[in-house]
Amino acid sequence: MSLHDLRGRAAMVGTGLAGMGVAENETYFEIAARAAALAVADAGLSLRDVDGIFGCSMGRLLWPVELAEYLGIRPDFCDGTQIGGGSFEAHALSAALALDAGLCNVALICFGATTRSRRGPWPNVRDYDAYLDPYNAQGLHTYAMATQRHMFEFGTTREQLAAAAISARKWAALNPQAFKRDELTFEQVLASPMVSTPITVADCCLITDGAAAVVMTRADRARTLVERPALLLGAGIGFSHMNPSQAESLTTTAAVQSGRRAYEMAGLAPADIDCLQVYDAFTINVLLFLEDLGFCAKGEAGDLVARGEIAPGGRLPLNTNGGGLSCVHPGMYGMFMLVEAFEQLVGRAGARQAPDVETVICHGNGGNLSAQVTTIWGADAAR
Amino acid sequence: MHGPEATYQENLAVGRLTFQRCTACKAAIHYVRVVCPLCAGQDLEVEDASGRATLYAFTLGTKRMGGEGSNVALVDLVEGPRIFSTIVDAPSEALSIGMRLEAHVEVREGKPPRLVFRPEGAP
Repeated sequence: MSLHDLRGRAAMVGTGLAGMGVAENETYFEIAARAAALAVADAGLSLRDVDGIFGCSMGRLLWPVELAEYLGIRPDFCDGTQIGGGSFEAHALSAALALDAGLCNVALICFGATTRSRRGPWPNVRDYDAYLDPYNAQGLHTYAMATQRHMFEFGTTREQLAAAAISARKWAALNPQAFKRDELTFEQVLASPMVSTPITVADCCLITDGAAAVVMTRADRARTLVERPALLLGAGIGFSHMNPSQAESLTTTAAVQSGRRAYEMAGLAPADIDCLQVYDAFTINVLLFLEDLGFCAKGEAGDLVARGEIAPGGRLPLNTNGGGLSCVHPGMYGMFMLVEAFEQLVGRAGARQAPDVETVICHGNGGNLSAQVTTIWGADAAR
Repeated sequence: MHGPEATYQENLAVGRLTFQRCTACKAAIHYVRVVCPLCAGQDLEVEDASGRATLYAFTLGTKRMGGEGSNVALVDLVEGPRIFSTIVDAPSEALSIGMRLEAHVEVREGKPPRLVFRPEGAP
């Protein structure tokens, strides 16, 4: 058994989004269930066909159990691994394993939250951390210090980071589901209020409501269900730390490891990737992941972004839905990235459709730049 | 059992900053553990830190986040370990990457003692 045996064995066959932006008078279970129902219908299936349930939430530790109850699903297999916002990319890997092994036949990965409406689910109370809590440490601090180090080590500028935010907004303007679609100028970004130096409001992801779901099946069945399934060609994970003091570097993430594993399994290289979804909790993430996933050398992503290469019309269409920065981010964004990877791969992304997409890299991040999960998806032709 | 964390906190409470040295691979370890994160050795000895350190990275809080005048920082002990902490007794404009720092233990009423750092030679 090798890494390659799982390559192309399972596929996404349907997606659903619900409650995007503001879900004023709906619960998070309601919008999650609406997304789930849309996803199974998209795949030509019924919720009664689902026998594998995957997902997690910021609160509600037993999310898969509660969601299964809500949907009337009595699953034969589950994975509720919680490793931060990129958990869902890890769920896609375990779903592929479970499908390939015959542990389940129709896998539903689903998440929803009403964070903007301040109706949760809220993170559970965490035990006292003697090494972080005396300093009121927040997740944002790690990203701020990573930004500072990237600027210090490589001369990355505020203007280059601003270009990442503006690129996200340009994609969002093409996406009717995106939360922020109005024009964003350099002047606006550079004048944006400071949150925690050197990070400004414009460097931070949105806080929205929203739910998303995808359905996966084995590849052979996928081809009977839909015209163009999105095959999971490669996947890998990498952890580097939880407390940022334990990271070897703040400017190189474990995406190097997760990416290497994913490319190896897929038999592909960065040059083979047509479209990118990377977890942009902050603008620095875009730069770090472009570098660590091999799209440019370390320290050069600022230039790449400033040249407009990730914006609409650019060589590396990235976060084509508008990303966490301008489309949607209800606390965990990884679920929405899988949906966008599918939309781009099947060619139904409308005005924001990137040209000739045969492969998509979809890279999740969780914690304080802690947990990285890279997935690579492809159409049949990319196999 | 008296775990290494209890010992560490007791030392900190009397103003003594310690870390661990792995007897097998000589790694300098902070926070303290029962197993070496490098070689998985379990024979770890307590060592006193000199308290001398340099500033690796920091971020300044803002009014917007209710943190005006505060900062958090990653600090490198000269012995090797990196520590999440905060810099005190220094105006924010005086902070710069690479500046020399020294450890200080704040005794706080009704709370555990807190390890902080201040500019080297600060009064």
